[in-house]
Amino acid sequence: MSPLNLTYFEIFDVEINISIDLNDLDSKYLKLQSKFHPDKFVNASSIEKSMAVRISTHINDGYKTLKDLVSRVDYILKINNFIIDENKTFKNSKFLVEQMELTEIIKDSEKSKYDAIRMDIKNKISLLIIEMKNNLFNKDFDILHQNNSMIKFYKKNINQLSM
Amino acid sequence: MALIQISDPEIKTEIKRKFSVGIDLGTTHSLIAERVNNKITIFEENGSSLIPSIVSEVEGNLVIGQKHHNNSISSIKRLMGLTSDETLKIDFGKLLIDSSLDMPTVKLGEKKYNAIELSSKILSHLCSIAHNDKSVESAVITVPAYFNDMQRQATKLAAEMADIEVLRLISEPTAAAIAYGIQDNQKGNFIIYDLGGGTFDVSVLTIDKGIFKVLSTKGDTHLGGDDIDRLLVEYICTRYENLLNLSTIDLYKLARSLKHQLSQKNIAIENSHNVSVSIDDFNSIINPLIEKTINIITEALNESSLSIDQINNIILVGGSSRLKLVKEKLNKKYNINILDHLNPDTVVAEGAAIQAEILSGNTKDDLLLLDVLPLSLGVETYGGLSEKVITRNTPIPTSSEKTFTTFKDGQTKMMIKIVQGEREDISECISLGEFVLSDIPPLVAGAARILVRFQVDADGLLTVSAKEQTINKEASIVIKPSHGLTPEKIQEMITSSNKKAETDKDFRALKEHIVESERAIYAIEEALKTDSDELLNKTELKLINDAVTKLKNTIKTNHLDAIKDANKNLENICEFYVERRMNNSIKSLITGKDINDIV
Repeated sequence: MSPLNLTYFEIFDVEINISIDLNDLDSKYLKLQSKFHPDKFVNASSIEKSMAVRISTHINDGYKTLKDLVSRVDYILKINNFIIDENKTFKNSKFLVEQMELTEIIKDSEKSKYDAIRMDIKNKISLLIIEMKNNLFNKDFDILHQNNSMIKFYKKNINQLSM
Repeated sequence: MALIQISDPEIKTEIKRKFSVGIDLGTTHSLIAERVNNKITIFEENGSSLIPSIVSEVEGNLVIGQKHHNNSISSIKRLMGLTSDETLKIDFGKLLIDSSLDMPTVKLGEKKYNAIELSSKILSHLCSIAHNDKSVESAVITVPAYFNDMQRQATKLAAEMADIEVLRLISEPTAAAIAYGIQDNQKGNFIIYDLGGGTFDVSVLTIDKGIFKVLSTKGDTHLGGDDIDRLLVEYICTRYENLLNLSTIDLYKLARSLKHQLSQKNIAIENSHNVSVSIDDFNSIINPLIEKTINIITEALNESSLSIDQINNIILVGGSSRLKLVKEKLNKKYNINILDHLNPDTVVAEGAAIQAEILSGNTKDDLLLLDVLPLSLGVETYGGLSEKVITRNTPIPTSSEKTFTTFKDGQTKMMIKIVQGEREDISECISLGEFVLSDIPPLVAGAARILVRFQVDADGLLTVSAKEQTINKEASIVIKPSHGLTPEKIQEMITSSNKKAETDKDFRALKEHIVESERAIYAIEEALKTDSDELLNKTELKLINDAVTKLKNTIKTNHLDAIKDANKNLENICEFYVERRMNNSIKSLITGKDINDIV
């Protein structure tokens, strides 16, 4: 039900990629909202008003989606018509074992170790991102989706650390 | 203004100046202000700009702003948007509430009133104070940032009943930020600490070059000066037995006087009753409340993605922020410069007045306000859990879609419960209502796919729509709000509140629709002049021109329903055209070219 036939990447004129320039996204976001926010249409006709709400919503939703790595990759999968099969469970057993170990480590560690663990996870994410870029380039969407699931796990770990 | 604002800015100046005001509808006081040419006027009554939010009954009439012993109601804002069930969980102190119906009422004289009705009386009264040679046309009305959907809806409805066009509902702390940003040229990252008569809000926001971006907001809609008064009354009553024969009204008067003294000196003395309270005692009484506000700041900050050393200033808003303990605690905990040089009682109304002047097109000044949804929206899933559809602190307007399916063969109806709040357990959230999806095509269980769309507008108000996807049919939705306000009841409230005769109203509606239609015709004709060659083929152009001609002819008949239909028809026909222009406009905006270079 997108109000426009433009993808979020097109609206923000951002190249479809795993990593994007977030400062550029921010400044374009403000530029777009300065023009299309409903407040700019208070005295306009009702057709313009309702269109402005739809567009401004689309800009906000796009901003939110593109700003975050996980939702950005999910969106890339979506616009490539990759359908996420929710019944299919995550099968990478090596990764799952690693996750279980990591959760244990976090549970047993003292707070002073947290920074080191966090750095370690961030490194893993950086390596994954490189892999994801390749997978996107090769249109290996199935693997890209798995990569993204791993990122979700790592982000949960990081949240655990900041509690 | 032409479609997507490509018109001459000069047209703006031709629009007749509208009487647009900012209204701070407060728990204990309300204010009404107007800004003209950089100058803000706060309207006064009896020499004061703080109009007590008190409704009294005097010989069968409702009087606003004065206390008339036993027949007065104050702090009605605390009841806004609450269901009777919810009122049972909250201590309202002096307010006597009848919770026998869905929507709570209070008795005044011989009649019972709900909070919306009484708030609309206060709003009408405020407008009468501002009334000069003409009456108030439109307003920006402030609400606590942490008000939920029902409380916002209630506020908007109160304004409609008072016959005020609501330009926008904005959050109180945001309004204060606008006042500091525009009148005082502040910029940077701010924490707004807003402790009012009945509510507490914290917002974290960034002000830069006329853009006000709210990053996070948090609060408590039942924490404020009222609670401090109550604690102080309890304290003096246990210490001074001679006070026990005072009336409740006099006790509160005494407490407020002591509190006022304690915001300036270290001991408060009331000789008439032989009462004294030291600042240390007072601080220890109110410490738990202030501690609570500090914890709320921490939560807001955590969600803003800013760290405390990135904050430039803390802005104090609301009468209760004058408490010495507030500044003491903030200084101790954060060591950040505190701004409070704009009057904390009036700064919210001033910000609202600025936004009203800008939104109504009365000034060439410009600002952009990007606010957020204060509380997550969710739907009930099996087991009484809430599944979030839009999370808090998402910039508004925003939307979200969720697909539902049937769980029985041939099922044609489905009920979905919408809640607002952060907890997983829906009994801990506020119920916004239930809606029934009907006309679902009878299919085997799980085959129907009903796409439900949740749309939150720039006022923070939710609307829900649904579509069945397998046969692509709009499913109809009937929303039953929890507070029992059906659309029929709302209409009835608006109608009965409006003193104007029916014929008068019809005439006004006709005039409004003619203006609206003319606006649409103007916008479309201007747009066609610039880019019809480029964006439309001959058939499409003819379709639009025909619809315009039809509307023009219909306007001449002065027939309300026909004009409405013809205008709606034009809107439907032009939708694809407006979309194409929006696309173009977005592309040119982002690629850096001025729109005028392209069209």
